[in-house]
Amino acid sequence: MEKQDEEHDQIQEVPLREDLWAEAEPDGIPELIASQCGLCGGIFFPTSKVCLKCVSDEDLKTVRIKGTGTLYAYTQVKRGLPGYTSPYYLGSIDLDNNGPRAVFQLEGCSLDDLHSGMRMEACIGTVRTEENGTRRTGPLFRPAKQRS
Amino acid sequence: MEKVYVIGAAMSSFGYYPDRNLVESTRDTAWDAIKSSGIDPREIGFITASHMGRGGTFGQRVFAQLGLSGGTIINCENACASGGTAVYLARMAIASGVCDMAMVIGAEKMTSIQGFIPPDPADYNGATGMVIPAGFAMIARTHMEKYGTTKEQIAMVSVKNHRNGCLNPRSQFKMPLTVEQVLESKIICDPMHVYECCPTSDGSAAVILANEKAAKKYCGKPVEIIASVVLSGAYTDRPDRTMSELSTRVANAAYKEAGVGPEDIDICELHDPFAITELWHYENLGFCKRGEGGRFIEEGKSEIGGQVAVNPSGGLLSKGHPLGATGVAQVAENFWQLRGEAGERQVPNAKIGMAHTMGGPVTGLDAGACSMQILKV
Repeated sequence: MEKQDEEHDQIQEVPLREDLWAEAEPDGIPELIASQCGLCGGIFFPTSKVCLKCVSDEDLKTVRIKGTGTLYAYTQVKRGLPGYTSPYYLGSIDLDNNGPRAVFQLEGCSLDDLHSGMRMEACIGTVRTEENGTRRTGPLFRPAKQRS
Repeated sequence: MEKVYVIGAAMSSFGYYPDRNLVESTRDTAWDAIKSSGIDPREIGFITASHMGRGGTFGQRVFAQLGLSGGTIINCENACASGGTAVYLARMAIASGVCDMAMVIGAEKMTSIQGFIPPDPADYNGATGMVIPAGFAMIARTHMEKYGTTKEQIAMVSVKNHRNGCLNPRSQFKMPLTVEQVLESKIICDPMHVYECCPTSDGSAAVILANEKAAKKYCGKPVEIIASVVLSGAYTDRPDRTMSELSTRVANAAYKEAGVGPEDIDICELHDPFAITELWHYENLGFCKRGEGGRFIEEGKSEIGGQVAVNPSGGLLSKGHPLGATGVAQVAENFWQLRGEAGERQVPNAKIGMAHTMGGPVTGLDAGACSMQILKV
């Protein structure tokens, strides 16, 4: 992946949004940037201006949460919109530590590999490609690797 | 609050009409509704025009061609629920005494929009490539996993609605389908097949609403709107996708307002952009218990002549889904069904009907908007 990027360094990579993820942890799994409400404990991804449960900004902090979770539902999109390399996979993931159920593209898998309830982990990759070739990057999820 | 009645309705044929001038065809639909109801259109005091992408003051462009542009005309957008929302607003205007008579038009030219309803890339889910069928494909899978719903049961929804569509002269498709044909059609988003998705449609619909005084003046058999509800999805951090929190809340509110229950509904024009969506809504609207939607279709309970005739018009799957027109056309179908004017697709002894739309992808919400009307003759 990195080598490929060097070979194509004329192709620009721009994050989908500035506030989606943070540098990889020592284990190589990027963290997600979320908001957490000190009043109710609610966690929101992507970040939120107010607590969507309390409707208050009184004690809302930007936090980093682990880029790991459990697969709730998934599909393979056979033909998506222009800019998305079809087919691609989408998954609804229950983020760990009481994070929300959020949608991500999935990579490194086929329909046969996926089943609801399986462990997933984040990685950073291209979500879509703009007409001028700019790659918009963001967190994707893939089946979790077994770690010792 | 004034009682509000439907006293006239019209719709164009729905279909693939890229060369049709939408302003002129919608004008013709509006005029059909006016002529067939016998009203003096100059008594219309309030107009809503439902559409999602027809540009500024579409409604005024339509009514200017009928000499009816001097009063209040409000253009209304709420994604798939635009038409139901426009009916809600017109009903509210009459109920609150603003006017005696109101008109609703809905129209869309989906053939001019690329990618059906493309998600907003500025919305997080939209940016991930979460096209609308993908969300419902995931719902189908969770429903199958939790309740054992089968792909054959989901396909039966499409078979039923296409069978009904064959009986409706205004339906986009008059094409009978078998379960095998549905399951052999290509996959759009696994496990959803193309024959389980509504088509790209153009078309328009119109209804005329009136208070009791105007209804008595012009209509021998008016159809009362006994409930009308529009709500938006509420944020849920871990939504149970085997159910729709929004449609469930809207149905409960509408039953409460109408003073009837799901067992009283004879005919329901239910939002079925995808086959799984209809099966899912049998449960959300209370026609059967959670998890029993598959059995409900399999046992024929949603057929014309069954427990509740769901989408006798052919629904979005067969009749077509020109967004802004959809909710208005549902109320028109209720008007015809409850007056016994629905021809070959007539539901026997239909007395209480329902119209239901839901749509608009928003991150964190079940859907942007959901509308419901309950009608009674």
